[in-house]
Amino acid sequence: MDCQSDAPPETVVAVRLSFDQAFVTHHRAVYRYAYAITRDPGLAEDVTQEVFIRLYQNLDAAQRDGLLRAWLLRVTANVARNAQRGLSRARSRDETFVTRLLQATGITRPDEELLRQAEITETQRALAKIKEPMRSCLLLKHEGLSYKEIAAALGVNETNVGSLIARARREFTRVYGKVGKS
Amino acid sequence: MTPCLNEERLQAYLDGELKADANGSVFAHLAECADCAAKAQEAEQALATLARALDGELPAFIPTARLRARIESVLAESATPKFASVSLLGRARHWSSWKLAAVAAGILILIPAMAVFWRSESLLKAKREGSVVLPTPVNTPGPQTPPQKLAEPPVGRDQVVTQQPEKRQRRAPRQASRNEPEEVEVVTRFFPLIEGDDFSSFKGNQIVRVEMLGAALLAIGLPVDGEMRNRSVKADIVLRHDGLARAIRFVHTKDAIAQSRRQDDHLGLRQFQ
Repeated sequence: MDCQSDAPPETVVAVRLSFDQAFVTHHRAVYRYAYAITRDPGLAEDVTQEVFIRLYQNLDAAQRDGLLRAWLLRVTANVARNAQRGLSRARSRDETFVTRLLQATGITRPDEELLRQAEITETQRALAKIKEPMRSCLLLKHEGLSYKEIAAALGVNETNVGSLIARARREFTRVYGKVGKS
Repeated sequence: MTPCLNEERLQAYLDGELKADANGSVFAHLAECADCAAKAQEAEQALATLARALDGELPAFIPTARLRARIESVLAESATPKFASVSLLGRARHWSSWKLAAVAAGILILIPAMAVFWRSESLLKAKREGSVVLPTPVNTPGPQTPPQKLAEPPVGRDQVVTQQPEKRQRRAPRQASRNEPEEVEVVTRFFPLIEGDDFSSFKGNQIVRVEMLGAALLAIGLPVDGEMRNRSVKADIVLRHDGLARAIRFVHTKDAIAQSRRQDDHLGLRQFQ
């Protein structure tokens, strides 16, 4: 009768992992989440590296509450957002640099903004419309995290996670469908 | 009939987050309530669309081996004797002390040997190709290493680049170059272009020699006087693997220095220096 036979997360026994086991088990989720935030494969690698260096330095603390994956993805979000801020500052500086250089030399440039916009996918556009922490809830759920882990990773109340995911899903469908039809 | 499902409960049901008894009651309700069953079906379709969209968006390929190598490399670089037994695989923790001593001795012998080998290789390659772009060495300097040791300076076809000690260059680059042979280039130290950049974390860099108008330096916030704006400036730029410029150093060629001196002479400035 019961088609949902997954054990609830409370019954999962937390197993303490070595650093190597933690890397093997969780590096994919960390990399993919870093990529989802930065949308830059190189930066996602940098972020993943930094996250695991921090894990190495805090292996005991990270596993104290038995939610290692939540700890890793919380650190991933922090590191990725910092890296993204640094990158956007650098990009803005590069942009200014090129603009001034072109002004000095009198060369015109193609409309790169249009090209850049064309590269933004429909999914990215829809995700961008979803506010935090709903968007992160959605991404972490997609990475297979339980509500408990999502709550720990994002610092939200566990009882609200279902509602946040439902709202994020509704918002995504609304925007994604709209963009698809237009 | 049990009460209709709210959005949160339905989502928890679809995500497999309900306990067995709650799960059973939701399942029973869906069997007898057409409205909720329709909502559940709609939500399931939306979740499937979402999953497909996110799967298409997120990378399918995870560079596991490269990530592992990078992390191992950083851990190895930061290893002090206290952490000498650290390995990503955790195997070295169980090594006996004599094995560790043997490995440490091996590394001590290898590092200078590799440095000499790399240096001679890169110089030979540069001379052979006349290239102005050289990859940085594999060994990235530690946090205390001055940035100018990040890489060998670019070598031109007919030039021998001599790198001066940092303090001397910064204090008096002209004096430093006065007694050098014709071919000598004098380079400044590397200046980071991104605040708070840590050179020790740089890997897979390339140094690219560029020549630009002095006016271009305004964009990176350097003060450039009127005459300098129209003058050509040579610089080496450190590009990280993401293609972004991270550091710059300026290159004075013998000619540029001589020209600068001539102009100073013309303006009668040298007597005041």
